[in-house]
Amino acid sequence: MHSEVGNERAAEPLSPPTSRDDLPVTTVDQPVTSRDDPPVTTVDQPAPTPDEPTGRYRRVNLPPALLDRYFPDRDLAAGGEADLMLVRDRISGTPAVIRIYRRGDAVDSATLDILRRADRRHLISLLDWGRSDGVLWEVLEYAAGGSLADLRRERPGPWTDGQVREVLDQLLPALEYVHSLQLVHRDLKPDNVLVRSVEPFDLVLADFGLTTMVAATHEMRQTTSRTLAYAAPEAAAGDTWAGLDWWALGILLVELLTGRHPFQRLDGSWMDDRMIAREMAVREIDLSLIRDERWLLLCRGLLTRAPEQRWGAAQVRRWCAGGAPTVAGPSGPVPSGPSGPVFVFADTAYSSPQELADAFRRRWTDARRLLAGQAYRTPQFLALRDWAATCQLTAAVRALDEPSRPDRAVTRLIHALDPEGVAVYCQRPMDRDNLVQLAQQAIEGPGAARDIIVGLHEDGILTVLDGRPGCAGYALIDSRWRRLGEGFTFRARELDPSLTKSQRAMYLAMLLLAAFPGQDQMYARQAEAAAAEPDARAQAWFAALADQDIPAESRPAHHVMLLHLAPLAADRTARERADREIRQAEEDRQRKLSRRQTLDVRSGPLAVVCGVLACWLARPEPVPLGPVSAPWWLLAGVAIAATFYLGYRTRRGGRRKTSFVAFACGVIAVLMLYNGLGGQLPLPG
Amino acid sequence: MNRVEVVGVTHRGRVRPANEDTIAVAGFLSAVPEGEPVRLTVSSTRPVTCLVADGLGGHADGARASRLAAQVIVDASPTFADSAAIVAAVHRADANLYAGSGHPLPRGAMGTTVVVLTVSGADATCVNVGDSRCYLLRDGLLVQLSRDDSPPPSRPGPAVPTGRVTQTLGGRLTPAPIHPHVQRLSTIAGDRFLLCSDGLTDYLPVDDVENCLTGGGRPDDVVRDLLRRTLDAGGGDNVSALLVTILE
Repeated sequence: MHSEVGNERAAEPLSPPTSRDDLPVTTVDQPVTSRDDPPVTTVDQPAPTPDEPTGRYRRVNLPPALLDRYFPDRDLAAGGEADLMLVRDRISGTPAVIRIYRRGDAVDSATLDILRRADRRHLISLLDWGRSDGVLWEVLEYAAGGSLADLRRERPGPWTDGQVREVLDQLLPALEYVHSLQLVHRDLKPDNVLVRSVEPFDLVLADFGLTTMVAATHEMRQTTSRTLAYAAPEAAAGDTWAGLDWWALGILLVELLTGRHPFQRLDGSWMDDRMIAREMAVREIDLSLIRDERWLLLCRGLLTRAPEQRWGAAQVRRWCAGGAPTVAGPSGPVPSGPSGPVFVFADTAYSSPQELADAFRRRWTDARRLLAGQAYRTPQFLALRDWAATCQLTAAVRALDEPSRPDRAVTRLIHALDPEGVAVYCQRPMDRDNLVQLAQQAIEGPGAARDIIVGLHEDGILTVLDGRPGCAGYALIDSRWRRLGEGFTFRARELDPSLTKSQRAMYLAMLLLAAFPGQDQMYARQAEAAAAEPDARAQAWFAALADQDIPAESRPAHHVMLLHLAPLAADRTARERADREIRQAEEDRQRKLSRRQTLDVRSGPLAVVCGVLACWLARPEPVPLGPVSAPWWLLAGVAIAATFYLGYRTRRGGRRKTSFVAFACGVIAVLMLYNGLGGQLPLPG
Repeated sequence: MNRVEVVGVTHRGRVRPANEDTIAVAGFLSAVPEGEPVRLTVSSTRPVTCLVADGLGGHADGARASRLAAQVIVDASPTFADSAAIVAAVHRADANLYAGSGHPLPRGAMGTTVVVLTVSGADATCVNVGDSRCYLLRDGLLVQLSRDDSPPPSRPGPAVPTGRVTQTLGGRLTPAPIHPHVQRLSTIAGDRFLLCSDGLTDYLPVDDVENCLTGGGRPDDVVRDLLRRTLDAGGGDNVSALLVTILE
């Protein structure tokens, strides 16, 4: 249910827009007629006068004839032929929808009169219509339950048999009724089936903008204003007859039973008109996902290509009653399915190029193995090529014939099989947002993202993806990225041979972001800060690099280079500083050692002199003890201590003989001193 | 000089009562019921031929069929100068199976699939009939060289495993011409070929096989790991594998 036009731009459309539903991009969800809920606030508020501003931009104004009866609430949508507006009755406040055709003769009066009188059990009520100021307008009932498309969105996936049967039970009498009025809806699709209520289930047909009165015989009418995805094959020729609606009903049932429109890809996106037309021309509608034989029979009957053999109301009634009307067509009683050749990939057979492309996207590794067989012309590879050739998929055959590395080959083949499909590489979506996200992941840390970035760069994948949905301008980005990447890699290897693969991948990711238009200054500020870092600038080569004048187109690579090299340069400076400090400390130590050594060496003679002096001072002649002689003995003691100390240093300085002499003098002096102090010499005997 | 290292194993699996597979390496045949990997290093000036034959279960003498076919091909292997000689040997094995089944054929001739790899100089030739497979591991990617003779699906959708093969050596009520699939390529040192019966590939996804082979283990560990994983996955059939590494 839409709350406001444009709020659901991200929602995947449930059906492709028709040419008449040429809505603005922001209204991609539905070509709604009278489906939007009125805002709750407007229900409770008094009706504004026509002159009161509603606070909303209005694309169209109400025709003067309606201004007295309704006040506009809001615009709903604009199509190629008409504008829609939600209005409220000025007296009752009842919501209604006004459709204003741009051409006064868009729908003939007879049809409008019929619709106005039509049974409202089956059709949305046409409350009034008129012409004024050259435009045609209709006042339509507002159905509060939304459309079948809305309901599908609420109940995604295949519907149960019971749910589908409820839809069939409502649409069968509705179509019978429309056809009984000699009208053909011509644009039956979930968007144009409105839900008056869910409990009880009440569906009505709406949007008769294409409805055409027909005579008993077919009337040829050249128009392209139909929904191609629901159009029968003969509609391309302009046929207008009831069989178109039965075909559309068949497609609608397939959509409900399988949860996916036959021309919808697995990711929910739609084939474009060209692809749909091609599929319609060369293949049967794929019913392989319908497992129930009864439903399969009904869908085969409704989707019979031959108009005159297609099931109509009578056959559908018989089917509903439990019968099994005959299905005509080339497939006869064999369960229907695509008639084209199949190719088996990963234990599943595919006949649709788009579905095979989808399978490649999902099972990338299997696809790589398959296409790695290109180098050896393996049987599986040749079978794929034969299949593509049989299906006249010339772009795919060309892709298969061009020697490529496996990842690039897979990308090219997917592109060739499904040009409008989602761009994928290594199972990662490659639209702009996802590509940026991938690059950011690669920058944040090691992992698979870095491998993918390297693959993207080395295989030139962005060029292959250029122009695919969400990939506009990728060729230019790739060209710029490659130039930046090559420049960076060359200089980085020159200046930093230790650059690892993972680091290179990270810088490639940074350069990828910088290669996007307008992003060339992405790293300028960081690079400027890095270039100004004093420790880094202390390296002359870095300072020279930072001061280089770089052409504008190469600056991102230069910036990334500076970001990479600045820490290296700063680190190198720090290491050099540490080396210097260590060297200085060593020199100091050596100097001290040398001075000590010198002193030790010079201590030898001094030690001997001190020893001799100690012996003289401690000689055996008795020196009277007493106050006068005390300093004398004390002096001898000091001389002995000096002798031993200097003798030790002499020995440390390597002069063993000198130190021995000094120690001997010291010992003799000690003994003599001991004797002189009244002791006995400890001599033998 | 052809220098190859071959590690082979054949195992009856967890379900089958007997092993009907036969593996052969440079003239040596093996069809033991329970197998431990065996490693052989072959240096020869003659072509080196390795094969895996998977006797058809439920047919008469599946084990005898695979052994007979392997014997015929191995006997002819010294003459495998080109792919035509290998194909001729395969045809001869097919004829021998019919001839060896007696006349008239009671329940059809005994039958077997076969995948043969011959390494000769810088060339390798793979010939197969049936659904035994030959893979090449190069640049970290496992590429299937053989072509399965399995019934092609007639309509889009998941392929339903039928266990049927569209051609085998022998195995029919009356002799029918066979068309062996031939794949030739140039080898480089380090190439690895895996020959295996469907008892391995039916139970082990290719991703797992590739992971085993690229895991960096020694060849005998790799083969042991393949066997263990296959048995862990059910091992409902006989399992045979030959891992051939080109040394130079």
